[in-house]
Amino acid sequence: QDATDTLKYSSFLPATTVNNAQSAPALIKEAATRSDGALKIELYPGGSLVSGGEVQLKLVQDGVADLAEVPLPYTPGRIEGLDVFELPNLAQSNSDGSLASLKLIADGKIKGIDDLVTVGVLQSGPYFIHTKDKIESLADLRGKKLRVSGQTQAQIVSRLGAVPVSNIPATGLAENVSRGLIDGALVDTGNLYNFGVGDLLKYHVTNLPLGNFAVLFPMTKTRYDGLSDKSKAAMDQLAGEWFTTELGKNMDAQTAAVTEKLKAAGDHVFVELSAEDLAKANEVLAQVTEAWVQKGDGRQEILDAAKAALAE
Amino acid sequence: MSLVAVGILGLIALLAIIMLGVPIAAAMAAVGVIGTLMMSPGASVFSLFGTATVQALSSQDLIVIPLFILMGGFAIVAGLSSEIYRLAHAWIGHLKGGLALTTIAACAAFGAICGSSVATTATMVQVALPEMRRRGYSDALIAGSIAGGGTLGSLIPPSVIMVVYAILTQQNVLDLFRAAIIPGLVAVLLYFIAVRIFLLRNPGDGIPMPRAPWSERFAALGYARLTLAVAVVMLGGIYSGIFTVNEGAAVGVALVFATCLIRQRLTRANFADTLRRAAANIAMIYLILIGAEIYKSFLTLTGLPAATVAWVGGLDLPPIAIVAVVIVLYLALGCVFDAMAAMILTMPFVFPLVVGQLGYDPVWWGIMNVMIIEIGMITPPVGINLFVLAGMRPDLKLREIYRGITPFILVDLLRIVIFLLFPGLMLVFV
Amino acid sequence: MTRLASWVAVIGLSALLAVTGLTILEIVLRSGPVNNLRAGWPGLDDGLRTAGMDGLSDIYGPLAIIAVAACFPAMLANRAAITVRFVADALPWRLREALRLLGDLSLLAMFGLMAWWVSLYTLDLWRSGETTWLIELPRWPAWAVASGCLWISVLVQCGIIAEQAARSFAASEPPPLVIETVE
Ligand code: NA
Ligand code: NA
Repeated sequence: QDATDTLKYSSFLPATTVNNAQSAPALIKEAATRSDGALKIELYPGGSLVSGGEVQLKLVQDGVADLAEVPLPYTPGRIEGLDVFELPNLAQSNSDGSLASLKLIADGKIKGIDDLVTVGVLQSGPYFIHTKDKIESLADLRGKKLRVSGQTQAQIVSRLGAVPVSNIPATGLAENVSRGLIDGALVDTGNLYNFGVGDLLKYHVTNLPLGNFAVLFPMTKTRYDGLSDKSKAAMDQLAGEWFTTELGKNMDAQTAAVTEKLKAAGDHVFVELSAEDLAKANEVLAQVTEAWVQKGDGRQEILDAAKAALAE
Repeated sequence: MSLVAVGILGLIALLAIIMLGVPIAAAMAAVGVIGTLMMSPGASVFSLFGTATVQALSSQDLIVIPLFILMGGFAIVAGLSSEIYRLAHAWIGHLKGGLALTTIAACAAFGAICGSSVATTATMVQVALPEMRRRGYSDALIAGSIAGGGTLGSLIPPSVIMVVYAILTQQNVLDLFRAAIIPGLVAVLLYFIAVRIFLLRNPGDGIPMPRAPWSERFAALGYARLTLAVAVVMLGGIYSGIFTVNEGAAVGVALVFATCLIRQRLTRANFADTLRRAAANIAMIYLILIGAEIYKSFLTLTGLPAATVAWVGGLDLPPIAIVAVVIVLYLALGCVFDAMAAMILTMPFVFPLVVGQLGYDPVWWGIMNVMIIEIGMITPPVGINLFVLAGMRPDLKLREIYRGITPFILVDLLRIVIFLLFPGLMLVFV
Repeated sequence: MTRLASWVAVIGLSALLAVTGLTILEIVLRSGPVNNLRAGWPGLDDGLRTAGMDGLSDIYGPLAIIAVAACFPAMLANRAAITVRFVADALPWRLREALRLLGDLSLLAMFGLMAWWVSLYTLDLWRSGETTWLIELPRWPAWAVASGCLWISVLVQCGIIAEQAARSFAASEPPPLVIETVE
């Protein structure tokens, strides 16, 4: 049967990312199967529809794309609440953060999302500290220049005594590490090779998770309502838990694979901070969480809800 | 009509309205919008004018372009260009064809603080032309060495056009800058040879100068120290990891601007004039990127680039032959197009083909691409560097300009062949 | 009109010059000596952090947007948009001038659309309260200024079109346009 609905799915990231190479194709395939061919989804990766992360939500709202990979931290203040997972020591994997986020959305805790349908949500991470030179303890971090993305990470890094460097895009990571401009970065371990630093950053702190990065995959309600019955029935099965699970699962698999690869390389060092160091870190990191809570009404409630959702 | 057919139609329409004199950015936007509407009537396309503008203006990568342009502008005000010229003159002015060699060397040195070929040409018209005229150099040799040498402004890093390539193809700017070092040196060498051959055939066109005494050589070195210092601090700081590329560009602007202030070269008039000229250049590049973004969206939806790649990939030709054909097409395109426009316009087709399909190194192709389209800057009928020359000095006859530029075009072609046959030569420092 | 365009460019690019100063400040702030000072002197560390010094790049982002937007009027006033002219230049003068008018009109349309949609985007930013990444400055003011620059561009282009229309409908061939070479 010919497709009755064709959705343009935009991603500003290259075709080779896990999301674009695995999760999106899985969604496309399932959508076709479950709608009996009525729902066709076309992926436009690498910003081939329009480049730039900060305009992806706008593309969906304007109707240029029907579905997009939207990095929420690029547009702070627009969709509020999911940034809670940027706080340290919350999510422990891609999947748990993603599913907890979905729950917060379903419970109506997230502001600015009312006219959107959440096809999927990903809390990429958690981010860990990775450095070029040897580190064994918190004290070794003192003065190290670490690339951060976003305000919470900047605070985390500076509370830990390192220097946050914030004006380097992910694509410039490898270049700036190899030139010595930065000594390391907060990176989602699974993305180390994607950003070209898998062979450059050799010291990996493994027991201090420093927050996740929220990515939303939305459609507008209007576009969703405009789908044919068959397509909508398929979308209802896939949007939300199914796609979110798929996104989290594939990212977790990547993290596991990268960790194996680092181990196999032989010259990488996995650093476990001592209990004493962890206690010290958690003390200063609590200040970051406190500062985040103080900044807006209802943030304590979201933090509690996030913790409860993660516990499930 | 199939989507690919719409894409081809769109491409033909685009070339046609560009030839009619519609500004290239507006032509790309118009074809993008109308083409998309033809494929799906009622599609939401006009919002792209907002999205593409927002995307370009907020890009952190593009911001080095205004900075490199500003740096070039203030370098002229600060008098750095004439000091470089004096330096080159003192050291190589006594060789056969000395002032032509001086001009080329000065272009190369100025290229290390200026990101554009046109700006380098325009600067050297002011600095080198009066000097060469006074010593009886022929208009042909003057024009050839200035317009040809001017292309070194883009070929020697920093280079705005390399930045644009790096952004559009998601490559590391620094890799491109490093890969340009050897081609840049080879270009200077070949231009020297071109001057010598030209003078062998036309001995009356340029006479050697007396050898400058060592005192003058070191005096000139002293005068040029600020320029050298700016280049060393900026490029050295970038390569050694003290700053990012953006920061290095900002530091360069600040240093050159400070030089203007310290030397009290800045007047209200030349300050405003420098900024106004820089503004026109900056906006021209951003506008064409905005138009290209709208056009790209349409092109993606037609699937034409992918179809082209598949078609050429299916041809039974060795990769080097395909690249050679692409290069010849570029040379033809360069006859009628501005370099920046030619690169941006063809990127969606050529990059996936040469790098994706044929497997060539993206950095190598970046430098090849820059070299090829820079030839377009000096080939008639539309060669922007030639226009700048003729525009600034209407007394130069076009026929003389063409006579003088020919040997430079020929050695440029030789350089393309060299790096096509020996790509590894370029990637030594990468 | 040309003077207005020049002024806008001068103000905008002066902002960019200011950005270069901020950049140097940022390089200094993350340098070794300053870093050691901050380590040994928690008061300074907290002071710099609360002063938003870790988020300097959030200030130059908006300034850069304004700087680039401010360049557009000057480009239009100088007729500097990249254009292939040699075909039209070979045509009879009235046709040539008419084609130029067409090109100018297409630029007007483009800038009109850009100004309109960027203004809408600005309104949207204002309503949604979107902020910058690090120090959470509101994002709309920079875009409001950028929209203003785009509307000024529209105005400038209208002036160019009036001039070009007069040339196209002149009784006899007008003198060649003096377009300053943009270096
Ligand atoms: Na250069
Ligand atoms: Na040409």
